[in-house]
Amino acid sequence: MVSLLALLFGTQLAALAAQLRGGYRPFGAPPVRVGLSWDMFSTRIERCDLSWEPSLPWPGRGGLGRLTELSPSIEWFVVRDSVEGYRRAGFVGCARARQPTRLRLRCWLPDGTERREELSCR
Amino acid sequence: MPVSLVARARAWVSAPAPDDSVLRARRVFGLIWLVYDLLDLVLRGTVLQVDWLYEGRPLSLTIAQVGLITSEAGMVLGRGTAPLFTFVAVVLRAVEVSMYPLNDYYYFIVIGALLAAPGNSLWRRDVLLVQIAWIYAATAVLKLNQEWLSGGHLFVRLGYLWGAEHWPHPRALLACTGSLACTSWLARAAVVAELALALLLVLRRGRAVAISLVVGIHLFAAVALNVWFFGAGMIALVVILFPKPPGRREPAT
Repeated sequence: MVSLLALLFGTQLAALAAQLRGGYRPFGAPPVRVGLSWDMFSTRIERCDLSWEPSLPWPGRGGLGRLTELSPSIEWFVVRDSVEGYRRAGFVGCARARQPTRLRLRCWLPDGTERREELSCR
Repeated sequence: MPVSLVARARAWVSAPAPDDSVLRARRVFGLIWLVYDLLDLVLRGTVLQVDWLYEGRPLSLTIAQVGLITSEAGMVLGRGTAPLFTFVAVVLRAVEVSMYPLNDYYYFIVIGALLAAPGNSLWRRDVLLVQIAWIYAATAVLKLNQEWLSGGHLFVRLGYLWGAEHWPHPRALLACTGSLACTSWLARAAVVAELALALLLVLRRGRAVAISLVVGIHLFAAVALNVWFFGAGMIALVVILFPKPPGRREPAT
């Protein structure tokens, strides 16, 4: 019992300490992802609606027009945490394009703004 | 250490819980995560989150998921074997978290580790409550930063849910999300609620308030943040484990 409790709470205290060593301070910079620190929804994120026009050829589907089409309806969304991450995903998808294709991103940023981008696959 | 403290500690460690709450918690926790893993396997949820280009099912992850489903069935249906199945589930979840370090999986591991011991002991019920309180307290403290308190994090998540995933939402919440001022208030309310819940869990006071808080927190998390199974598990644990006021306890079975 003692060793179980020591392991459980020791690792969680160590995770919190790692957040402090990483620069987190209350009312200051946000924490980063550290397992067992319980940093749910505490970190900085950006989200985008990534789409390809025309749709990418995709096995088992008529085509993939938006990254969200891959996600189940709840719980397991296919997401990235930054605009740059979505751009990279967009260009990775471009590798499957068989014709000139454009990437479109509609992004939500933590400063309360939206940003739209349009990029060419090639 | 004074003898009386040692004696009290020994009595606490050896005492049974006043009801069958720990046993029920294990069954219900196992059931919730059984549903999660079944859906995850069928919908390839975790597979797509790890690599959205992956067209099949990674063998190691699939083996872990099938093992988890089997173990969780044992948690629900097993009697004397339920602790062993729980231990196996914790090990397999640790394998899964090494592939995809999701907070939900860490949560399963710490709660499952406490549920894996045999018996219906008082210390396990008490430590489970402290562990749950710790999760709420820690997550609330880590939210004390400008990204969360400004409402920016909520603005991003809500905007994405409605703008990209086209979820239906209550008009009031929809109106709120266009303004950082409004999402900031929601964000601060969430921190206060989590800290309050942690305090009630530690003090074992205000069961009705605690249940209202845990249901409110996780209903909001479901509709605004797309977190369903973690919340269902937390609600179940608080409802089952939070001691009822004297005179309303059910006998242990």
